[in-house]
Amino acid sequence: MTLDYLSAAAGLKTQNQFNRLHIDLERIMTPLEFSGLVAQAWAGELPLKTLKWLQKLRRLSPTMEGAPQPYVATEICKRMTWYRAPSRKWKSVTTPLLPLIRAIGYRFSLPSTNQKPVLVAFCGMADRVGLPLPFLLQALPADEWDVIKVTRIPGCHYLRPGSEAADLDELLTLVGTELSRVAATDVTCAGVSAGGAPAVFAALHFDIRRCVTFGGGLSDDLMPLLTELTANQPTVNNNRKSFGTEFLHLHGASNKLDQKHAHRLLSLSGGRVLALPDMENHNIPYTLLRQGRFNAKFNSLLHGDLSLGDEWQAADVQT
Amino acid sequence: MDPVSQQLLSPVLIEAITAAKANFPPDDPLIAAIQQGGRDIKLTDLNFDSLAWMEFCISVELATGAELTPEHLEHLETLSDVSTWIAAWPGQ
Repeated sequence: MTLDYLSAAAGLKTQNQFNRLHIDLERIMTPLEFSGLVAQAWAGELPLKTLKWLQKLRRLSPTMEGAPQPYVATEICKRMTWYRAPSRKWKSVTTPLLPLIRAIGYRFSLPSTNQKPVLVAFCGMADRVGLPLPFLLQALPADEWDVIKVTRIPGCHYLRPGSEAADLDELLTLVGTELSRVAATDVTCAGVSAGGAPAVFAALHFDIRRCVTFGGGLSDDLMPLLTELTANQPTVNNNRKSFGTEFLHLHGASNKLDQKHAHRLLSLSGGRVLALPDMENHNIPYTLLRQGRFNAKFNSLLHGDLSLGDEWQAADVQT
Repeated sequence: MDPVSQQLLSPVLIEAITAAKANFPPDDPLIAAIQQGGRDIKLTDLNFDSLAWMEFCISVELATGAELTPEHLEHLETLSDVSTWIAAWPGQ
């Protein structure tokens, strides 16, 4: 627990001052830190305005207080942070064959890395993945995932008008450097809203297993860049492009703008578009969370099967 | 609200909307409408989510000291109502 809430909240009086602190915390706080805060609340150490905020969060993720996922944050740079559980120590291996193996001079060669699957999560304009970070992390078992959170250029979009290519190059270099450093071989991208297009960019550039966008946006001025990225890729079935990556673009069935963007992304990446029924809200993850449909399904969406039909009643959209 | 107060509060509202939109300013027609009093601008038409409204209120408080909160906004309909609410805050 590194979060010193009481120091951060010292001197705050108005609801807006507390909201400022809480919005900022929701962008960086881990489930462990949330659980620590709740413990402080039970001990009567926190002000009333904090309790109301915590109560709202507790209702949305029943497991986070008692069994928080043990992610720990490590900042890579202002725009990128790792969330990983502390690594476990290797257990010593004993086998009756060990003396024989040593006698014949064989040397064990252990893998140099024990890297788990990595989720690269591209935030929307509010610098979060549609919902407070602890909810996202709590939905992803820490023994199954390491997570990199990526945010836009501070105060700007991911790609600034006039320097799109340079900004994209920098973004891909940042992400690529980290993936190479940990020798990640199983990588998934998720992108929410304005993070949708960067997630697709990254998936097209790297050897990404799966890319899921949630109300992903793709503006007109980014089309040339994406077209260039996809230009040399193989074209197969029904003239739809197909890559090694599984692409899934989710949008609310009642949100026409998101539907348009999802189909734009589909036209460049291939894969599938799924429309979530009775959903108009642009913020899909938070809507699903409030409806109680997020926690159970998000993990399998990212590295299980893609049969969302039952849980999210999503309908495949034919192009 | 008198025109002078209205004019003084226009930059506050524009700044608050900018904050709500992740620091991207509103488009020119909306700015013009706000400068004319914002009577016809319904809060629901701004399409802000709860997080954006929090940012809006934080910005208003930072600029004016008026402790406008999302709960207050639930009882207001237009940007003009917001201006009136701010102007009525003690010390404005």
